[in-house]
Amino acid sequence: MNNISKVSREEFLLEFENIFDETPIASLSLSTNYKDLDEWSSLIVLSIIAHFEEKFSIVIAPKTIYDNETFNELYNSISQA
Amino acid sequence: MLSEKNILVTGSSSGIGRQIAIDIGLNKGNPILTGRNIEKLEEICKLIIQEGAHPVYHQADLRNENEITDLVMSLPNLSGLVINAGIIDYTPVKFISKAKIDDIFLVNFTSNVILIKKLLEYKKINNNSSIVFIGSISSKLGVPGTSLYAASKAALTSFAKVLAIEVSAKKIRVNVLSPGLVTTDLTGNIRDKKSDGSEKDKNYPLGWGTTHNVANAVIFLLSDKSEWMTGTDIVIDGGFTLS
Ligand SMILES: NC(=O)c1ccc[n+]([C@@H]2O[C@H](COP(=O)([O-])OP(=O)(O)OC[C@H]3O[C@@H](n4cnc5c(N)ncnc54)[C@H](OP(=O)(O)O)[C@@H]3O)[C@@H](O)[C@H]2O)c1
Repeated sequence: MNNISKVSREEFLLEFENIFDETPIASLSLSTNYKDLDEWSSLIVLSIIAHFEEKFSIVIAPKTIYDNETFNELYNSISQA
Repeated sequence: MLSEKNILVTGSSSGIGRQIAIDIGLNKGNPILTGRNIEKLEEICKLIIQEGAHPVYHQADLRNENEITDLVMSLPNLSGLVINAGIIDYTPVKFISKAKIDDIFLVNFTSNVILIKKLLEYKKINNNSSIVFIGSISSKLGVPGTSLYAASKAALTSFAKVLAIEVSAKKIRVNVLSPGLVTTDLTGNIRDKKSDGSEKDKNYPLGWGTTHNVANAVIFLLSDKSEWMTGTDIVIDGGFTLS
């Protein structure tokens, strides 16, 4: 159990509003493959890590982000960690 | 090469600093180790003693000024100093906080400046000594996420230059060594961040560095073989910055 397991999947997705600058949050769904997004880059990976560390005090390994594809899968991995 | 010289190495409980301390011992110097992890410091000292040298260690968290003072007071006079303790950070600019800036600069810059100020104040650095700073090529590049780390190392490198002129009358030499990627605990993380290491390796004509590569250059800078060198910033990166 960590702080992420206390937020719903939908709330989890909303956290990415702060991470993506060009991608409208409304265009994302839990089944979106985040690596297919135009804005996807190594900086986004670092941004995800920094955001969740700052807000939820959890450290996400880069591998977790690279190994998953959809926001749903990412939620599962992080909340079970 | 370093016969009977007392040399303090900060951050010698792991990685590059550990190897520098070991190599000082192998070159007949007396390494003085410091870091927070006392078990590791003890373990490395045992290893160095087995090689016939005379290391000592002093536990200190360099973020704490009182602990720096205690460290300085515990020291014999030094003929060499290696400023190696440091932490890496990958916070993109948009996610930087004041606390983050303070954390990184406190370890990578402020603590080192306070340590050197006190060593000079208490006359712990002998004339003709050598001071080596471990910088980083990050301070000369634009790698995403490294702004605070790069800026802290750039600050340290500028500080070293001014220090070099201020202590030159005492024939104390000050040089910076700026390594590229070296495989250590610290870079275990970096490798994770880049999915796999192969992509990076192409950028290093001579491959990633080892702690031995860096320690060899440090030993040279600590020794009299570099007696005419001061105020330099030497890049050691297996050719990374060639392209
Ligand atoms: N590895 C690379 O690719 C690379 C490249 C360029 C430059 N560098 C630089 O080389 C230096 C050594 O890096 P490394 O790769 O060997 O890293 P490392 O294995 O993580 O070692 C860092 C050392 O710094 C010490 N340290 C950290 N915070 C401290 C604190 N608050 N008080 C006292 N000691 C502290 C640690 O000791 P404790 O944990 O025991 O306190 C440890 O001994 C760093 O300055 C780094 O920026 C590394």
